[in-house]
Amino acid sequence: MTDGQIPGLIPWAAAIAAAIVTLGLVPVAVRLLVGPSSADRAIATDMLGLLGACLAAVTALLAGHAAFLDIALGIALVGFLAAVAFARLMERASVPPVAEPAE
Amino acid sequence: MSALREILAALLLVGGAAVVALAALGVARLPDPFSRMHAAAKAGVAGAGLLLLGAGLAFGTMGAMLTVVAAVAFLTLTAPIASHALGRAAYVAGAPLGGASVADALSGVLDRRVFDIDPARTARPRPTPLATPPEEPVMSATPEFRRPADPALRDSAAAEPVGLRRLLCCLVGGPHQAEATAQAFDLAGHAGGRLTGLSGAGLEPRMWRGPLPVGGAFWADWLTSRSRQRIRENCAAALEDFQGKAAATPGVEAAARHEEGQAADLVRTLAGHDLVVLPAGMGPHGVECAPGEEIAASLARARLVPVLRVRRKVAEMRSVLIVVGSSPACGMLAAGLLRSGLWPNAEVSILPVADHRAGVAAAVEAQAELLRAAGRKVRLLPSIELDFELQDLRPRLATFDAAVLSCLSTHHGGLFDMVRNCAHEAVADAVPVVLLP
Repeated sequence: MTDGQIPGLIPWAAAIAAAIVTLGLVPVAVRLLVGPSSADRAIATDMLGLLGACLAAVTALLAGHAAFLDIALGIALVGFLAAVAFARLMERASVPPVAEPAE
Repeated sequence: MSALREILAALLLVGGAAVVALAALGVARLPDPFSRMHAAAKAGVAGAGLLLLGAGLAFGTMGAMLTVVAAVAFLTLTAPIASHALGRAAYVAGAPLGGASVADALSGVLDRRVFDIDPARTARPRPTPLATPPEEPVMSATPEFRRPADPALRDSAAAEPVGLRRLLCCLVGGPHQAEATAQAFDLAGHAGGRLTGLSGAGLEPRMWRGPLPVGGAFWADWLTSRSRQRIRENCAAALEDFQGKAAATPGVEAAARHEEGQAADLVRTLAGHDLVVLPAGMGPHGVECAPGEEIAASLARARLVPVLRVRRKVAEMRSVLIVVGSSPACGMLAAGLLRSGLWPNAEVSILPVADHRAGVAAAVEAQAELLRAAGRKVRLLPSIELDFELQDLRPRLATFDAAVLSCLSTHHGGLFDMVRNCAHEAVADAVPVVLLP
């Protein structure tokens, strides 16, 4: 069962899931490119990590190799670290606002 | 059973994918970063978890299920932390609140700052490099006495011998101290100079600066006092030996004293002397150490007084070796030997190290010429490579009574430096007497 084609319903479900998740990549990419603030871009990157984990799981089903599930686990781990790193960067590197000159 | 599992897995897969896609839509469509983060954190993790569980169920094996459960557990554990950190950072970084928000509960709790502004305002000015002249890469315990290799020392006027009127013998203990003291008395007897035995100088007890368990200050004090006690015992033995030898050789005017201070203080007391005699292998903490960290090495780095490092007493010097490497200090070794006036009858051999490097061949030629002009017998040895074999070099070194080196070790630490052979260390280990001019 681990190697080779899984018969029946599962490949269809996996294909549909892959299509839906791939469609879901589009709005996240739009937010990543457009996102007015850096916080938006960091959140979109976090979401892309989740989508990547989902795609890895679907790939495991479509390819018939359970080893891809380990990749999903790895992406989840790295995504957490990336989110924390982005958060630290935004908190450390932000500067106090400059007082606007009174008109 | 299998059919039921398959149906359940297919439902989980498609449902999870749909929830993830909705979360992605929410990330794109919701009005402000905080609500977008809320979509990514909750709906995204829920959908991804469902999809992963479906994948594991579809495989149906124990390993796949375990991996998937681990991934889902990790996601549900970390997603709140990550999204909390991101949301807080977004608030601090000044992300705008959407128009639909009714209150800012964090106002006055966290201060809002600015992250997204034009880079010309945030960029820190690059630190301009300080306009200091490039220094020789030597580490000296006494930087005030460091001076560059003086090119004037290479001409013959600087090579006039200086009589050994005042000698200093450092009494620091160790296995070679008796030999060093005997050598110092021998030199002073031949040159008719005055010999001072100075014990304890340049030695400092080892201070423990690392972490210690319970009672750390007490243990650090205890270790320091142990170290100081050992230094004093060594010095007392060396002083006793020195007094005995002074009584046995009435022709030499000898005096001994004990001073405690650090390496910098020792260098100040050196000022009026013509030569310092030290035993080999003693470090600044009263224990033996690597050649590069010896008291002799740090004194030689100060370049104030020529240093004689004695491993074994040699009654009559027949052959002296000069090791010429690529450092600029190696160009004044012959001048230093002539200036010290030591061993006028010995044959001088010059050993180049890696003479394909810049300046080595020229330094060898110039020094051979200088020595011949001073009436010494000079022999040029074939050059050794940088990656020489210690077993090949040792028997060749065994025929020499003394060596003139610019430093005791060319190791600077580091991973690959530890496996590298150092010609200076090999010579210092093999030759009984080393002169550091």
